Amino acid sequence: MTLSTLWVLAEPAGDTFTTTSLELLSHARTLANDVAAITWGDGSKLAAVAGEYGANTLYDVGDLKGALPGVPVAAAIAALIAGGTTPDAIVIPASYDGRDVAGRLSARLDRPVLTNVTGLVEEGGLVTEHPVFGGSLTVKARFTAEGPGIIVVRAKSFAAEPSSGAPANVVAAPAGDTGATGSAVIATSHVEERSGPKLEEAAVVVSGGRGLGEAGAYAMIEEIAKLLNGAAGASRAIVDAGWVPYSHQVGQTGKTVKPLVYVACGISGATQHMVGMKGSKNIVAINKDADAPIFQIADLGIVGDVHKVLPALIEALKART
Amino acid sequence: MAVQAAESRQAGEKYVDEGDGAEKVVAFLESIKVL
Repeated sequence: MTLSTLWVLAEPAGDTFTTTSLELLSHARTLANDVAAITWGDGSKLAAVAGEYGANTLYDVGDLKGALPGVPVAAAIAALIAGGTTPDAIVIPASYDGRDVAGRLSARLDRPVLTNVTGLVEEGGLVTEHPVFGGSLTVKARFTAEGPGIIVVRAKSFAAEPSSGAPANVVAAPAGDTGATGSAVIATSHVEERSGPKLEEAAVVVSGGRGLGEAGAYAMIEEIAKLLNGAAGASRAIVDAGWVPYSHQVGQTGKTVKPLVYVACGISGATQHMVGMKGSKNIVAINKDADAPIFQIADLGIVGDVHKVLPALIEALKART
Repeated sequence: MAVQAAESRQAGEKYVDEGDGAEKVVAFLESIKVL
């Protein structure tokens, strides 16, 4: 390994980290000798899981007292670096808070950010991979200036794989006084109700698009998803039309999914949608347009009317339960 | 910086629904052990 140290922004989620954080920790340990996780809240509770996924050290920014993470976490990282601890790169999930930290850190450190990263490889230094033109081309880039580089990685770029690592060594990394910029606090938070698995983690995702014709037809998507113990997704077109909430959106501006099987119903296959699902292990497409681009990446394509195929599929699945 | 063609997926089987589209989907889901 030519890389000495990587830092990973590990966003806390209860007694563990977010799935993307675990993915980044898992991959970082294959690239660098030393991996440090940077988190907040109660780091001592997360030392075991940080170590399990590859971190030797856990920098704990501490209790944010309701503040948004962006300001205090970026300040804490900048303080660590100012104190002489500098990694080769800082790897950050492409989440709302992650992007907030990355932007602030870039300004604070005067270092560039590489975003929309889906691959990280070691080729005589750290090389990032970025999909462009709907994923038809891959750009490889590397930092040439003094580090640390800041890298923002998309969800599902790597597998989250636990190891037998010992608990990480917890090191306090307080943010210090952030002044007025740190005064924004989270007043309330809302967890959206859902039944079944999370869209990003489901083994089966059934998605609907404009070909459904009207909002009420999305109930068929939800029913099939439920019958398959999966999650219901959507194309941007029907989210923009107000048929389903944004939290269901799959694609470049929505969620990236990599299920065992993705069932696209009435989705033509716009580039921005396919970027978010073409990493699925298997793809089934149902669309009445035989020339729809989605068929170019589908393992099974059904050229047909979703209003005929989906009710029959529901009946067939019900007959098996 | 370098640019290269990304790995592309190949299209699989495509059927025109003649009333058996749902059966094809079920058979596929069985073949990958989802059902």
